[in-house]
Amino acid sequence: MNIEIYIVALAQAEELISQLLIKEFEAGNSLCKTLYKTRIKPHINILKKDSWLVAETNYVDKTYRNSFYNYYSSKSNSYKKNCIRISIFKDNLEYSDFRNPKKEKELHNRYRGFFILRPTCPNFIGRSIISPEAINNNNFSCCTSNFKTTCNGLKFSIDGFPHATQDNETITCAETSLWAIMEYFGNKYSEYCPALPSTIIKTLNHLSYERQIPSKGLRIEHISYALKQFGFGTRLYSRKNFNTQFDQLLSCYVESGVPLIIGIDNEHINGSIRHALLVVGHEDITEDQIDKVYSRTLNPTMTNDQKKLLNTKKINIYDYDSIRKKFIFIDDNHPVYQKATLKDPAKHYEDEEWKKCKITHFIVPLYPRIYLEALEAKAYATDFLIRYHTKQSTPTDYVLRVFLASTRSYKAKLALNTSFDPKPKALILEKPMAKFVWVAELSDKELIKDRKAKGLILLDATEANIHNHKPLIMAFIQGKMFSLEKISGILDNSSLDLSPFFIYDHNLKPYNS
Amino acid sequence: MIKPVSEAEEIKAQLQEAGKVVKLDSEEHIETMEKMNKHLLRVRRELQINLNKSKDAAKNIILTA
Repeated sequence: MNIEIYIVALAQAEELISQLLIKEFEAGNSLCKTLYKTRIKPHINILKKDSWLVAETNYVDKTYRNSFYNYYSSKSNSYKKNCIRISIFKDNLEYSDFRNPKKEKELHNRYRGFFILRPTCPNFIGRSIISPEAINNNNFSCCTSNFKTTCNGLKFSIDGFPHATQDNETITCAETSLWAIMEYFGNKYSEYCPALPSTIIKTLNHLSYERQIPSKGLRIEHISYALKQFGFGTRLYSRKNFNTQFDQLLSCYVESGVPLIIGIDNEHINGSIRHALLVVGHEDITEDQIDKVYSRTLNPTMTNDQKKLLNTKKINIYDYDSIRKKFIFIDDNHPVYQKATLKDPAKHYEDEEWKKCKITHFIVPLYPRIYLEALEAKAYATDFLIRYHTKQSTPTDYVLRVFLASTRSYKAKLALNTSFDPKPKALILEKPMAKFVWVAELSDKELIKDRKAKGLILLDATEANIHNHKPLIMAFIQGKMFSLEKISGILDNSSLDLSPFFIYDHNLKPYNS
Repeated sequence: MIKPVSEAEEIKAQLQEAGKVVKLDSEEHIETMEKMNKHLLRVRRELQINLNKSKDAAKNIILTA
């Protein structure tokens, strides 16, 4: 038994994959065309035309092997245990390129990721890590993790978000979403471990009163429980209860670089669809979308006191999270990186029933020591701005962008941000901070189009005590710096200018090529 | 003695010396802080209720498709 290697241009994908399905997975000759068209072609169609594919047979895929040993091998029907790995490269390549030391660096630059074909007819598409650079219409920013892999004997690494289709037996949408989240966090941070299908089943074993495989899905609360067991400080939000704040909160967490599990359903039309998928980023925001963002004064959660102050001080606050944009979804019924709005998250489905699905819940896998909630951080920043803003003769607009950032990443980017004034920069960089901070950048509609802000509020994400400005690390508004004098507990106000500076946009990785 | 190369303490001292630091400890400022405390407590109370209700709402939804 050898590893057979095939190298073809994208145009020959159908011929190669059909041939491999018949030869390696014993898929029926007559069925092969339909299977390719319905199950594989959509995943090929998203790839850029200049892609080349390298197929390797007899590949041991850790995720499928786990399902094989724990389930498929116990069936009477015989299932293959090996998979096919298809690696993606930019531009044409030859077998000899992989044996030429002079070509190694070039191959690394052209590597775009891989996907696995597993012998689980008809759901062949298994684990994949595909770089957004490999796909068409990639004008978006999203969460990515770096994955180490190999192809034709050489080592490669690729940034992308994990994706797999459900096999409908060991993993349905709920388990696939959990698997993808853990694969992402496990590869990105040392605190977490990837979770194979059997680990997910074992974690939920004591909550189940029936057999767990073949899977019949998971309750939303069980997904939340599993994430908690995997080390997260999970939070669960429902649209019904958070109402008008729901979409803004979801957007705030996405802006913070936290991939979310969302639940969609069509219960409102008495349908039976209940589906889990991930939201991992958003499309590039256009100037037109910024112009159309509505004022925070229209927000029903704003108190009369706040509205009065906004009028007296002539301030208009716009919430960056209210900008209507498309988000990037990882959906196990569709190819990776699907774009859709929060209003119609399943618009890309062909089935009319599916198209009508709405988001009802989202689950946030938060770092366990983030005690200050997104809603509280946003409420604090808004209220602070309203109350400590000095009255002016001309109206002032603010676009408020609130997100979570790891202190390490935030300080690392700030240190090299040459647009940030040196004195405020030194004061922030030399201030001891917790592992995570809530950052509120104060911009306006024109500045934000240039990716700039004119003010800043930094909050300690580990401070749950919201009394007497306890969460405040530092704020810069209208040429003044506010900080808390720790001993007296009194707020200090120093005259210190902060010129417009480039915003922090490193929570999500931007693509557009 | 080796002096620290960090700048924050020096900047703070300069601001203090130039009389650019004001303590917000007047009655009016304490009242503003109290108003913020009150508002944030209300936000937290509503948040906690909604998070608990969200948990209850999710109890019987099974994601399968």
